[in-house]
Amino acid sequence: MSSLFELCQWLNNTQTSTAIRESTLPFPFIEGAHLLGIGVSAGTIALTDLRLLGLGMKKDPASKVLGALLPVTIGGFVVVFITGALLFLAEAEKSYSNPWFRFKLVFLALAGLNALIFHTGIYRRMSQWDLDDLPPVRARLAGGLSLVIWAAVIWLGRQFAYSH
Amino acid sequence: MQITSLGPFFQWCEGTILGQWVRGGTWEFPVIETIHILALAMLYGCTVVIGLRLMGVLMRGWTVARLTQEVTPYMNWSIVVILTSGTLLYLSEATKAFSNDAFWVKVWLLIAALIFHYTVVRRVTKADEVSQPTGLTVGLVSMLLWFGIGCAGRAIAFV
Repeated sequence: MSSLFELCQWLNNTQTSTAIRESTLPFPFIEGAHLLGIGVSAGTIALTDLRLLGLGMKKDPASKVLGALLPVTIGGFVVVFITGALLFLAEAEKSYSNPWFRFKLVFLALAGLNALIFHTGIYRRMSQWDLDDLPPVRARLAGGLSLVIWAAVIWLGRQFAYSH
Repeated sequence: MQITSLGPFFQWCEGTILGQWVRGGTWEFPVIETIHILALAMLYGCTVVIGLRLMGVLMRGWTVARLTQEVTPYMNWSIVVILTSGTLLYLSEATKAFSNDAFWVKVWLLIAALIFHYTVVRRVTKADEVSQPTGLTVGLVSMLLWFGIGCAGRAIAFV
């Protein structure tokens, strides 16, 4: 038994976890809010990625598009991470050993890594390509990867729900 | 809210080849549902962008008309994908849906949202600027309708 598993077991036995798990109303409400958060965050991320790929909102500088969409993405993220944490808390023990859930965490980490590489790299030189119809290859790569990774996160989350 | 006379039609739907196909396998339902949610994300992204701009909250660097023009192709395509994938999911469990209250709430909200979007929102977003009361109302109603559909859809699994 790893200590991570013990932590999940302990979480699973907390009062909050049991309360959410056995509730009739809060659980569906948290799920509903999780879905809305996914929609708002992933949707605005997709619009951002399309600009980076040179496919959408090309008439406007990339910096303007990214800057305007980011607050909406962050708003969605706040909802999706809080509700996601609560859903995990409610089923911590089941989640721990579920391969779909583990893959979902890996892809979430990849999404973060992709964003980090973008923001510390080509993003800093945005003034050089701000008005380009077709952004540089590293920006397009970041946008394309982001689309694929987030789609995978959503798919893995769905598979997770059907696997227990 | 349920249209009782449609019972036989719902039974016929469930028996269609497409319904059997989605119901029959292990990966079909979750994969189609994933496509459904990906389209939902695109739809919500567009709805929120237009809605918040109408409300005057964000995206003020664009006129209402131009921002709407930019996202309308994505919005229309996501509606096509979401209706297609949603129909497939429905066909696979039509009789279950028939007796599910959340399903009917979703259907009525969907009809309302589509009518509202292609009449009121479409007309209001033709202008560069919108008066504050109109923008606030239309933006809010539009977002609440689409969010309501998502919640009702999620509720199908719980009622």
